[in-house]
Amino acid sequence: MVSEVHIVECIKNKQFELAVSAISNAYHEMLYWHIRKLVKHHESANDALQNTYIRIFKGLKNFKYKSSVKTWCYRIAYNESIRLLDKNQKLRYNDRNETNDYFAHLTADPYFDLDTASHALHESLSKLTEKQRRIFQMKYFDELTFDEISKITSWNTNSIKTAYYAAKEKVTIHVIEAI
Amino acid sequence: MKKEHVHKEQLGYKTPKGYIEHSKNEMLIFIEGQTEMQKTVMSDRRKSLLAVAATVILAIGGFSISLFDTSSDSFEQLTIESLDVSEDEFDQWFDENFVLNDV
Repeated sequence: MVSEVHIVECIKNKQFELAVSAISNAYHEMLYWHIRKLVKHHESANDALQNTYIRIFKGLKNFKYKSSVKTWCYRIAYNESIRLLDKNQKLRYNDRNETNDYFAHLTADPYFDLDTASHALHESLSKLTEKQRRIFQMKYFDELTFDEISKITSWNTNSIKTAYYAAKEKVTIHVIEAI
Repeated sequence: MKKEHVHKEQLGYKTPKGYIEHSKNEMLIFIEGQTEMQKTVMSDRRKSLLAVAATVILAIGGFSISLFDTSSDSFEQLTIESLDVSEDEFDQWFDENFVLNDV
């Protein structure tokens, strides 16, 4: 596993291609799943991931060492995902035939397996606000710290904590009821 | 089983077979392509800059030569002087070539 220290060394030595390669070895899969949980569709996740790599590569020269490389990459991936969601939202607004329903959106993806998916979990997630859902996914699935989530989303740590605990309670109650 | 894998199954998210490895290589090749493109753009820019620099140098050089070179001035001066013929000289020349020759 490539360490954060090695990546930082590459950046400091201006070996940006090597740095991207090291980032890819360390965080590629994590970044994909982070994006996938936000945008849901595989193809959209693939597009956002490609844009993320471009931005990482272009941004490495200006890396300020204010956060870890991992958090910085997650932030870029998060922003790319939101950008893509906003773009798709605009397209959907113009296309009146397409439903904006959470499940319809999920099942439209050929890489969504309805049989293995937990209906209770998805139902509970669909009941959360967009902010709560994003925070819950980052904390529960990606196992990021509140501080990391704050750096990634630029949201206040206390509001993130509040949103997470509210989301967690909603999800727990719903899943227990479903069982 | 890793917690991460459980999550993927819980959420029902699948990927094409071998996607992660394949996409990792694809992204790195893409980035390499971007680097090559940047280098080409940079060398193209360098070429354009060199062309512009050469033009500017030539223009400055030409201007400097015309500024410091007095030969063209002296040539013009001579031309003007040559046109400025005094009436006496002209009469003499006319007499010699036409009037006196006819005699």
